[in-house]
Amino acid sequence: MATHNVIEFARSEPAFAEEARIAASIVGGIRGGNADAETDLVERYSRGLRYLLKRRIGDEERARDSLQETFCIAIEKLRKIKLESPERLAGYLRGIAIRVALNAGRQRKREAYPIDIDAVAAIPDNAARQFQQVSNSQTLAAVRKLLDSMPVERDRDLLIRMYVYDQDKQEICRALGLDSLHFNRVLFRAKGRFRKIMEESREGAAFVPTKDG
Amino acid sequence: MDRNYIDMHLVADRYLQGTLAEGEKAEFEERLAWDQDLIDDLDLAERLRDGLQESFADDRYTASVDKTRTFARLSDLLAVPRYAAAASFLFAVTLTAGVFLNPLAPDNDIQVIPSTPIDIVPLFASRGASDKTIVFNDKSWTVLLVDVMGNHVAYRVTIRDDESDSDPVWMQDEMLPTYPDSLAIGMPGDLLADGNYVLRVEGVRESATGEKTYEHVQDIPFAASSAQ
Repeated sequence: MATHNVIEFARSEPAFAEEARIAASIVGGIRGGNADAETDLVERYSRGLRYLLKRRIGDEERARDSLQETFCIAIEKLRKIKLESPERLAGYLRGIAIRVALNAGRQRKREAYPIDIDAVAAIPDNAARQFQQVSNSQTLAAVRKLLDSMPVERDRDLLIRMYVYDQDKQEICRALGLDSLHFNRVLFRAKGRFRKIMEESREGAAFVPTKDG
Repeated sequence: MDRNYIDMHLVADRYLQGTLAEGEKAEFEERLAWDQDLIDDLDLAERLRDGLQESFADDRYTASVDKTRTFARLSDLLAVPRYAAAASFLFAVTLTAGVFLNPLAPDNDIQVIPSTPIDIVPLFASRGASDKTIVFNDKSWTVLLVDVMGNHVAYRVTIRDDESDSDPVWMQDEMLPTYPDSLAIGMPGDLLADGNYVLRVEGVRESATGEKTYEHVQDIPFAASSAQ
């Protein structure tokens, strides 16, 4: 009797166990012909796979088409075959998405993949982003506000070396005379501050119409 | 790939840089497929990265990435708003103290009351023991400014002689960050003899029963030298 080694996959983090449980349930539901399980699949993995595809393909619209194709292929397979490790559903989907993205890159003119699965047809045009209401100019203002709020030039240097010059951590620590832990703390604090500024921008944006999106 | 590993090894940032090894990338993307919080964090990091790249085109934010800049002059330090405010506050306190301690001349001539000079020294945690040498002027009041690393409400700071296990030469408990992320540690300039010291910052935690515990935050070694 095949057993799913969920405990091994779960490792030490509860989130893994939760994902393993949900993934196994979705796989079992699709195999059993449950349409709700197909909807669950699309809802749970859309954002992440879309992000992954967008990074590989570059174009938002083509990424969306590739996302639909990915789900169609995945659901057709899951209806018919028994997945070896259902708790690793995310890895399985990633593999399909990467192959779809590769094919999308090779085809000059892409023919639309036939969508005959309701759950896939319902994928929204735009992925829900956490700061969707925040415009590009507001994001830029938030970044500048972050820089202005950092009194130590060394900390600003760290961000610029990392995100503008793409220097690696070792290089930055050597140049600025920081140890690894200090580096992590500066970065963590900066990101936390940036998140807070963006949340304030989002709250403001909810009441103020923006010119650009 | 668990979140602790992702955070400690800056996996999300390296993913954006495109410098992850294939195995790491596969594991990270597998998690990305289902972890909504990770997607949010990555989205935020991407916005920060894009915004910084665009802002860097603005001269105002040009950083000297080819050399390590230090506050070579006090005027450079005081150009930073937070340090300027700190200096102003301390100057005001010192001036007030000077007024009370130095009465006017008997003939009521207005005299210029000399206030104690203040030396403000930012003290960064850096690699290399005793990399930092602080020159103390025995006629000044020295303020060491220390970035606060933890998220504690209050801190205890001690300064010990690095070469002995003796009692601390300076200690203050229940210190509050005077300005966000900084502790201002003031002392007379003649307190520390020449030598090597370690400044230790500990975060204070208080239990429900009021018992205080101290958590080590950081050690900053430095060498003290008296101005001649």
